[in-house]
Amino acid sequence: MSYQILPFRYNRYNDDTMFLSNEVGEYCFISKYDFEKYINCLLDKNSNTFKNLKSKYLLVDNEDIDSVVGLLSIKYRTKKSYLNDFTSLHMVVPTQRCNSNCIYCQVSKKNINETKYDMNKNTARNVVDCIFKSPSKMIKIEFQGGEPLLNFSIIKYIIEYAEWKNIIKQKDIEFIICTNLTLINEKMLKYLKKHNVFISTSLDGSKEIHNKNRPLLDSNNSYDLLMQSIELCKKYLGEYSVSALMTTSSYNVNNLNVVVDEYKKLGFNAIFIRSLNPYGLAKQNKDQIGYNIEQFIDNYKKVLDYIVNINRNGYYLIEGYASILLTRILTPFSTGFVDLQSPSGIGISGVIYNYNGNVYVSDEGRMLSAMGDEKFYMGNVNQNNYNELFNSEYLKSLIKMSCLESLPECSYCAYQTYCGADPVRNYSEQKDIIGRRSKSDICYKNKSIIKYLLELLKINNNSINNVFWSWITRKPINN
Amino acid sequence: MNNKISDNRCIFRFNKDIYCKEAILNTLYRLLEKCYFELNINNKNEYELVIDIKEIGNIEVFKKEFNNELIDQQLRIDIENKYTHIRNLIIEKAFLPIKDKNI
Repeated sequence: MSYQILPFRYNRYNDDTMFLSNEVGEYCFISKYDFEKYINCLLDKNSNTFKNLKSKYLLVDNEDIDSVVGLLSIKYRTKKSYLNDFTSLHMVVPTQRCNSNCIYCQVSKKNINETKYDMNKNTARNVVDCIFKSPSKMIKIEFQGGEPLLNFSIIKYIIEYAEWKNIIKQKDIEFIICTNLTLINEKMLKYLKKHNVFISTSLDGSKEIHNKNRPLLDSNNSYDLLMQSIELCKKYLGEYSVSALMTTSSYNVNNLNVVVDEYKKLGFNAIFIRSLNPYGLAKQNKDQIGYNIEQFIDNYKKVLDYIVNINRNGYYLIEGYASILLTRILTPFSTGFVDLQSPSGIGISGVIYNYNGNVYVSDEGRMLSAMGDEKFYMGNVNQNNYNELFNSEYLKSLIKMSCLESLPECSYCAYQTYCGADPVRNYSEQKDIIGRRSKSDICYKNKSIIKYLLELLKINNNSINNVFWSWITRKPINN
Repeated sequence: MNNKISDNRCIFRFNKDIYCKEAILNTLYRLLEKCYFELNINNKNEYELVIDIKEIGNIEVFKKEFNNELIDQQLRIDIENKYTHIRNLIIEKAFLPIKDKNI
């Protein structure tokens, strides 16, 4: 043999072209003609195809194999580095009460007066004790709900107790509140400023779209209140203190450009085009507010092009999901996005503590619990110690079933290195933790978006590439 | 080699020297939404696969799709068999630093 083929996966990109990728995500497009030569070790060493494949570590000259194996192993370790430190994202639900009436509510919120769904101090204390038992040097405590601000006293208790514990533990600690911002006031903001707490809110588009998706219990105009609150946050916390997420419903799926325009108008530099998840009201009201996955993907591609052009015209705006995928395609670095990991990040990268101390492998696991299914329950901080919660055979068995490297179809998928397992979603859709790819909307979505990004990269247009790299590096092009 | 029995049923016969069981099963798994199947070994020691497609009238298209997918699946297995030792080397080397640590 004149050269050694290195491990790769492939798919038939189109009638004439094959797509190849290796263990660390490096990839190459080659003609079918060259593919046949490649796998039979008949490529001309002076050909561009040979040089291209060699540069992407899809083949190696026989004398270089040891050094290339060493290099690939370092990249592989880098790709899997999110496994090093265990759980870093700890979501805490101070209350399941909410003053919103979102049409797609996935958490099965409780009535605003039902204070029995609030976290008490004893549980909060046990939650923080549990969090600090994680070996991770970086801890992110993210307050979710319901509407977390309805139990602001417990948020303050958790922040202050965590800061006190951290005097000894010395971890890198970050706090985020995910809130509709309708209850924020100056006193709260002064507190959040003092404790360096970030804010994430929801913004689904223009006033009309946002109000349709996210009315309040006592008003159909949540948009105006949100705008006032965002201004207040900027005044007290700084211009870039608030980030926003959107959810796609049938009311905005065909108007995603309008949503993007709204984000740009408000000065946001990032948007995450999220599809609906099949939990809670989103599942219940699917006929009214849902759409099929093909419709989402078609519109996603269009809005991605729109966002890229906005960047090319000088305004820096990241599309969150694309930037995560591009990081995985173009760099050896892991992204820490728990929904796109192999093994899945459930429990081992991110976890959620409900108001009553129940611990679930993910927010989606908690959503299933609210629908009556305790499949993804790990235990309770008031009854189980850290070892019982995080070192259980239950969690280990879930993780074992979420390694793409050994799942049907995923094991040979050419996009494997860019993708991740979602056992909770598989179970929710198919009542099977492993699931079948041909029936999986998430698989179809990920493959379609990855393929589209690869198409854009294949064009090799400098200005598009610059936009994509600016997203990966988090630095605007002009910088 | 395959024979059409009816508008929605056909029989495939595979030489075991060319296609392995894993390739056939992988192919079936990918196309499971489109068919029902029964896999056996006949008296000529060939794999004999009876397929009933769910959508009547598309048997010819299905046969072509099946054959193409089977080639891909077999090729993947052949490549894996040839070069999996290198993948194992890479992964073993990647996790060598923590191999004997008690974490």
